[in-house]
Amino acid sequence: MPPSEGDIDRLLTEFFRAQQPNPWPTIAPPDSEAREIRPLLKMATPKRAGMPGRWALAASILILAVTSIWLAGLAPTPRTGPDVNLNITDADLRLKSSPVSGPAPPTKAEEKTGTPKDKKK
Amino acid sequence: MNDAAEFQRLYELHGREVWALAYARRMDPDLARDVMQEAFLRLWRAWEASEVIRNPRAWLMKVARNLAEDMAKSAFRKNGTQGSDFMIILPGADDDPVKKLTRDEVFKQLRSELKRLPESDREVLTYRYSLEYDVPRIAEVLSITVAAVHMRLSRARQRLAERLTALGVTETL
Repeated sequence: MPPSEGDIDRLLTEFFRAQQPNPWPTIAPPDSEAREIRPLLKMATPKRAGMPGRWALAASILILAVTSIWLAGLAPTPRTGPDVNLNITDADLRLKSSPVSGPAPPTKAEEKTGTPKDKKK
Repeated sequence: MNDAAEFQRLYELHGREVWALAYARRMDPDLARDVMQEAFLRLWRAWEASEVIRNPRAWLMKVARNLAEDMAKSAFRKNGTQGSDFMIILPGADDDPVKKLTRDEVFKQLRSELKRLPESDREVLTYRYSLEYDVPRIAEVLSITVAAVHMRLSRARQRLAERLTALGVTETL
């Protein structure tokens, strides 16, 4: 015969009463010295403590990505096309490197005579 | 101002509820006691760190829930402590030893059956029988409807009755 609801009630009441600490523990706020003592039970790390690890991973990936983009920017890009003249002579280079492309400024002698040397010739 | 008196007041007010929450989750009275102690210790430390806790009860329950999960996973709890059965079979000074042993055997089977129940049902049973909360209070604490509490209580009792009958436990009730 199955137990009545009253029987189950009584059993559960007895059971749960037996489970409770008896006497019920008192508690007092810990003083500063007591706080230095490690707890008897080592508590598992709270879930929130995992966050710095995740942030570190995200930062590493970001740094890696930025570095690779930066390095790609530093590499010389090959120039191709019709504007590239590989047969450049020294004279061409001198010409290109001269700061002023117009006629040379008159020398002191030319300034005195008022005639440029080229025109004498 | 948070001080020792306020801390004590909160312990008196919510200590048993915190214990019950941890107990309902793990069915281990020692673990539940440790969780309760640690939750209150953390509350004190949070106060010391000037953390603003608007709802201490909700804060404590949340911490206790997380601690119960974490502690159950730890190797210390799995391997290092005596089961609560050991404590129960210790004979009391004024108990008939035979009756005590019989009761302990029934409790052992009951605990085993309670562990098989859904956690939500166990929670309702713990609040009902351990804290002696009435149905509306349980509904308020668990944020569920009164009808849901009735349903869970009834379902849990019925399952337990069936299983205990199958195990022949009813003869000793």
